[in-house]
Amino acid sequence: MKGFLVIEPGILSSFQDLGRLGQHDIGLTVGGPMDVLSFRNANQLCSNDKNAPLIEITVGGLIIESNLTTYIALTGASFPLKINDTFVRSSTTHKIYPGDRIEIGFAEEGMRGYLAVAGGFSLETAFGSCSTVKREKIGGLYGDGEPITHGDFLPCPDNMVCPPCFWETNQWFCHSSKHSEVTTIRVILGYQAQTFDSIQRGIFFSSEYILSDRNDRMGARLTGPSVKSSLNGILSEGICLGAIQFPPDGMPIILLRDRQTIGGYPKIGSVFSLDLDKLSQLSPDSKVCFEQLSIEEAHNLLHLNLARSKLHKPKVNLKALSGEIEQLLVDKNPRGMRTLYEAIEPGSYLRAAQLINNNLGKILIGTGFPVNSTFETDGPVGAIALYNGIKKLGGDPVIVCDDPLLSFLESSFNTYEIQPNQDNATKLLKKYQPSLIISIERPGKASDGQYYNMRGVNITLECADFDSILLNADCPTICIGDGGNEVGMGNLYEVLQKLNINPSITDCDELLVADVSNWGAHGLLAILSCLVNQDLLAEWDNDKVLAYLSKGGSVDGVTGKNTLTEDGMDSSISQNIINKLRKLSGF
Amino acid sequence: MTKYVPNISIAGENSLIIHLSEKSDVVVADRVQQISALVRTYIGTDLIDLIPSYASILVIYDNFKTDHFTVSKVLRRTILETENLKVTNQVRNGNLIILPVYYSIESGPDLSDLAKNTNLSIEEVIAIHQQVEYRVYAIGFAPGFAYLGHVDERIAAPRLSTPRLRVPRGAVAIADQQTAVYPNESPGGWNLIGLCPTLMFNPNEIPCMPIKTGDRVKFKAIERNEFIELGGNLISMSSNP
Repeated sequence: MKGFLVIEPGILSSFQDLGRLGQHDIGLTVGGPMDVLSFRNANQLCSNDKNAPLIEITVGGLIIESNLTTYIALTGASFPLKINDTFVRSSTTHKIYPGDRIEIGFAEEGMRGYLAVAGGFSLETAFGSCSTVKREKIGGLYGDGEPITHGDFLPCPDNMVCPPCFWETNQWFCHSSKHSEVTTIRVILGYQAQTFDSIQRGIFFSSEYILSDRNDRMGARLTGPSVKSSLNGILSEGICLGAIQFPPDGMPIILLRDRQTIGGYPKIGSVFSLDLDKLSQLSPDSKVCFEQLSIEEAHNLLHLNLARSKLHKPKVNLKALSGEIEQLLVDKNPRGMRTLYEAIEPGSYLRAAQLINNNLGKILIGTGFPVNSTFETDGPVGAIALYNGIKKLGGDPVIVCDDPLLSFLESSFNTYEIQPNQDNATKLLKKYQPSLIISIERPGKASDGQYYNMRGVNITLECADFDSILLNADCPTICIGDGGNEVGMGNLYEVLQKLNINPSITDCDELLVADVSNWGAHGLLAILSCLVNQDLLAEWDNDKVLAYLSKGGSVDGVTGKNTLTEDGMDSSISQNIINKLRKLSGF
Repeated sequence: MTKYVPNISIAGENSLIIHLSEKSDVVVADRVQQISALVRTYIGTDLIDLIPSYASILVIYDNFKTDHFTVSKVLRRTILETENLKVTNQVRNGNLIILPVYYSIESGPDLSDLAKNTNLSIEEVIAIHQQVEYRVYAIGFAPGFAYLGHVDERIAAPRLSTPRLRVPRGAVAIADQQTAVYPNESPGGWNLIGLCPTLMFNPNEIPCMPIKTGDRVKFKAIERNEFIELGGNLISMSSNP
């Protein structure tokens, strides 16, 4: 089973989702996060469902150890957060590897933190929720309402992917005042408000109250000037979230997430839900004061808040995202591309995507690796993907290749033919004056000026010269390769000496490597999607494109057979990579 | 006495409460049942939750699907609609559930004090508790905790001055004119007079409670051995402070 082992549970750490709804008639309370805003923020950072179970950490001290690769994010109060003894930022998605130790210290400001994991923790639900309610002995890891304890194993889904994100500011600090100041809590008048005469109400709304240390998930007790209702007690009746009730001592109690569903003390009104988030982050001895809010204002504010929150999304850490894509694309490592990836300055996919985004115009896409007088699937698939993506963004792409690929593509795409043993560059560059040139899986010249395939066979006679186009162009150039003999690999000539191939010496502005060159194109589109906030991989159907090329006589570059595969890999493997890339790009 | 006019008031940003009366009786309880059922139908998926109690109904609605103007209107209409409506037999009768109770000093640690304070014998207290057919007025305090009324005034004992930290599951208890069976071990300040072997709340069963608001309950005395045969447990009692 995959998940996290609890080394230290901390003061109080419990599983919460948004709570149990519609169960009040059997006496079940709602439960759920005390600070809903921070709960949402944490799940958003992990691209989770909005009701995904996570850990509410009160005061702090939780230490857990991972046995899987996944992502986590901590929001809420300001906790020192360490991963393997290194301090890292809160409100940020962090990638976690097996054996990683996550250590949450004690809150420096605020009371509660929310630790989400990609996909949410995998817990059984009772009455539609896994929220832990100790008093009701319901929810949590074992369904008995107990908080997280030493040695618990917290299961979560494996193989999750999410874009590395961060919130620019710690959200609740935006509306929370400093500890020493007075926090204003807005109250919707109602219930038995009329049973508190104008003097009593005046006292309540003009005095400062102090949060006592007898606070829990059931209620917040306050001390301050005593306020009395003309009623001593009432027939027990339903209590809503945030209700402010006054027991005979006149000290207010604000009823919270784990409150009893019915009670018999008079109530002056209820706290506005957005202010309950603030309240839940106040430590004992904090000062609060109360302000009236009409139900109409409350309704309006809630809707405004929802509208704003839809605009307000965590920012994607593009450099980290590029790193994730770079790693994912060399993970299988059939031709040693991981070695090359390590030699490239991190962020190559991001820089390449920015080159495309900043140079949308006439973009030349060179592709086609000759195999036994036909063409291989690796290259054209990616070229088509880039062609479609660039078109969607308003660019004007042209696929540049030699025959027989050209004859097949020219009916469906803008193409330009290049031929072996000819100067293609002068004419082509004069005709198009490109804003950018991309090459994907084009052979590149070795140090002797000849073209070789991966088996070391000289293919110069059947291979058009694309290198001169790259070298003579006065626009930026991007090259994608997966072996070392492709054009553009000259950037890593030193490193390539170590591989048993005839490496290419031609260089480029931005070199991208991947296990399969086509994947590099998809990776580039993934990060481009994120840059332009448009899902460029949405309509891609890998099987369909492979079937289309197969009709034109394409072969697998590794097996030499006319199959729906790329470099010996089944189309489903590519589609799986594309799905992961899409998730990484946030779509 | 002036007639109490039902009123709808604001309880919170997304809740309204209907008060039907200042006191609780069977007629009001019928009305609570009737209105609750209609409100569930009328508000439908805009309803988040509903808490029927002795003489009130708390209505919690989804603020992003409706608002208090709309919900108030529905509630007002429902109150008017039920004003002259005959209470259906189903609402009036509910189900009758018989709950077995092992009444004894051993299982009801407050039985002798209650008898002493009410100038009754233990046997009389037990008999009076069984005579009444109770109604489930509300469920709350804890999951499955049903408030049953009304206890005969002769045995209506006030809450303990110091609540117990631990009342065992199944404890049958009295507080003023209310009686109840503790569905689970919990703190509590009611007078304990016996133990009931029937599980009052089982989250793994459907339904999870043998009774619901509006049902009728009668208690029936059983012997110690019957109690144990029915799955009752006296061990939890012995360590009770």
